[in-house]
Amino acid sequence: MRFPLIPLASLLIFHLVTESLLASDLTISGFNQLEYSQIEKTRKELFENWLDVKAFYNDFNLGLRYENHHPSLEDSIWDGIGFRYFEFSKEYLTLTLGNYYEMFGRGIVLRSYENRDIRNDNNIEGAKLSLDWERANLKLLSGQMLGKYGTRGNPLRGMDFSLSPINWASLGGSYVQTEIEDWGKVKLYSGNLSLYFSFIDFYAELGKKENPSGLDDGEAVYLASNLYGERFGLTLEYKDYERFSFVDRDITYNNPPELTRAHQYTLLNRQAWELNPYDEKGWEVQGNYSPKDYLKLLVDFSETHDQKGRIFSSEALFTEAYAEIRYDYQELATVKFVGDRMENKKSFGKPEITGAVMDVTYYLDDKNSISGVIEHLHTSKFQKDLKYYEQLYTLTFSRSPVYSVTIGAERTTQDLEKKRWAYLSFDLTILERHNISLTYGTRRAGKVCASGMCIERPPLEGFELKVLSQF
Amino acid sequence: MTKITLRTPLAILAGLMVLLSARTSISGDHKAPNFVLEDLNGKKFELEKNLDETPIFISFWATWCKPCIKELDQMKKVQKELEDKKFQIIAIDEDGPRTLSKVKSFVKSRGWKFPVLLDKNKKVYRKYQVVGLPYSLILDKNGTIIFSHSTYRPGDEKIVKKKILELISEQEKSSEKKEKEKK
Repeated sequence: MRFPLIPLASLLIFHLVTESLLASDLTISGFNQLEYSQIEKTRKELFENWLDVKAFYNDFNLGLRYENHHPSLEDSIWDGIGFRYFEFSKEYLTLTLGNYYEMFGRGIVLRSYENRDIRNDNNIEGAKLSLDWERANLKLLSGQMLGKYGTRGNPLRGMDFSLSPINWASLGGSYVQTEIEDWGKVKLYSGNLSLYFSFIDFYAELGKKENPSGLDDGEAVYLASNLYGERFGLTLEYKDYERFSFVDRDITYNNPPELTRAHQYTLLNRQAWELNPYDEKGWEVQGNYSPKDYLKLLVDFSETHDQKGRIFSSEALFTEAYAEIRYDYQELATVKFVGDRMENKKSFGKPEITGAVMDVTYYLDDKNSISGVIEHLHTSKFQKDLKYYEQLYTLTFSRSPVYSVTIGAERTTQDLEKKRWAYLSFDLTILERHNISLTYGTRRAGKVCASGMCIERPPLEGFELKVLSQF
Repeated sequence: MTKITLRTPLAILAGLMVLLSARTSISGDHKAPNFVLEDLNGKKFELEKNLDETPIFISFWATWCKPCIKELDQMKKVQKELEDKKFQIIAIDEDGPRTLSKVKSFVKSRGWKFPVLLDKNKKVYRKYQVVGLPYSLILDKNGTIIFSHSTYRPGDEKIVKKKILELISEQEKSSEKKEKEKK
């Protein structure tokens, strides 16, 4: 028998290397997200898994994400490494090679990000250099952005800087360029200014888009101001995006601020406005006031027009008025009421939607609580010729920190084949680092929206398993 | 299409359990990765420079996340209850461009007295491998993660408070011991 020298030597070297690494500053951490669902009647399955592993060793950091989609929520099938990178950081310098995400300013000229709820991942593959000093930052990047259906765009180059010479002000600028199929070489640049005072602050960003033909040149303006006091805060925002979408096939390079309310409740979230940076202007105001520790008020109003529309006129494509009041009754209960009104002239039938939510949590003791949420939405379309309502009820018993059980039911009077849905959900936390969620029953299909983007979630008709594990 | 049955996710679950059992031998206690973020006034905050002989509670949150806000409102109460003790709360905001401008007025109206840092494109979120909000951590005085927790259920703040008090007590004992040794 031959002596297995090579395997044994390899094992010995591996052991010595890992021992010495473990004795030093090596940290390995990982996260796994699994989503599985099965339709009971047809046995059709959705299965997605993301395994992220990262290693930190002194100034080095590397990581990868292995993904399985069999099929994905959007019906594609693939396995493989979806993201991998190597990063070196020393004092003020960070160099990244491989895949990375980046946002310049407020996303007006460039935003690369991942949001699994809406299945968005437009990472860039290439190299990035960041220099981060106390009063200045500089980022230089080069790479290709990922599209929704897996294609990579043409080479993208970008630069972003900010300077804060004084405590109450900072100046910045961004530049990106790439080639897109319809227009050839496209350049986008923007400048921004931030001012901070004791009770007010201000942010302004102006962007410009250019291409050699000049036919699709665009402009973007985004302004925001905060006014605040001891228990009071007011935010005013303004947007004006004219031909400022930066899209090539299935690749979306930018994601400017949307200026409509981001909803916490399911039925309202399904009605969210989808951003169109090609032709949109509008404003939003949000006020927060807490007269007492136990009482909190929030109001929000937004208006969105196309470029033809006049601000403050009734021609708005989308308007929304929202108000909520939250009252904490001693340590016993929290009650929240929400009222909302939306008018969407761009959507089919020009719906006018009125919503109300009641959200009550009752604390049984230090660990146990019961919460109930009733969401009601009334919709009228085609100048009130078509009317229907939707209601969603959820009742949750929760025991800290281990588990919660939720019963949910939804019904509608809309002219649909199915009008009622009901499910039971059990969420369990094990060893602080593992969350398992099992749902059985039926749940309605619907839009899930974030960052001005939405995806259509399929209905649940069977069971769904979600597992988050950190190690 | 590749046939997937319930066995597949269960196999992955089993794999994860193996990894879980091996976690202490792979990485030991995790040292919290350092980060630099801007606060609501544009000033830079570096974690390593703020490891100040006190435990730190870090919460990842966003203005649109209902349980996150509940958790931080409760932590505001914990901060008040422990005002004579030395510990820090840091809230890392994960709002994107859509809601980023609203963070400051929201925080001011809420009366949160702890630093709120803006993680504008989820750089720190990814570094800490957060997948859902809320996500919270407790670091000891050396920056080692001694507790991490996803989601928020009413009552979780009591566990956090207990862990913080345990850490403070351990630190007080160790500094008393050091002083005695010096004498």
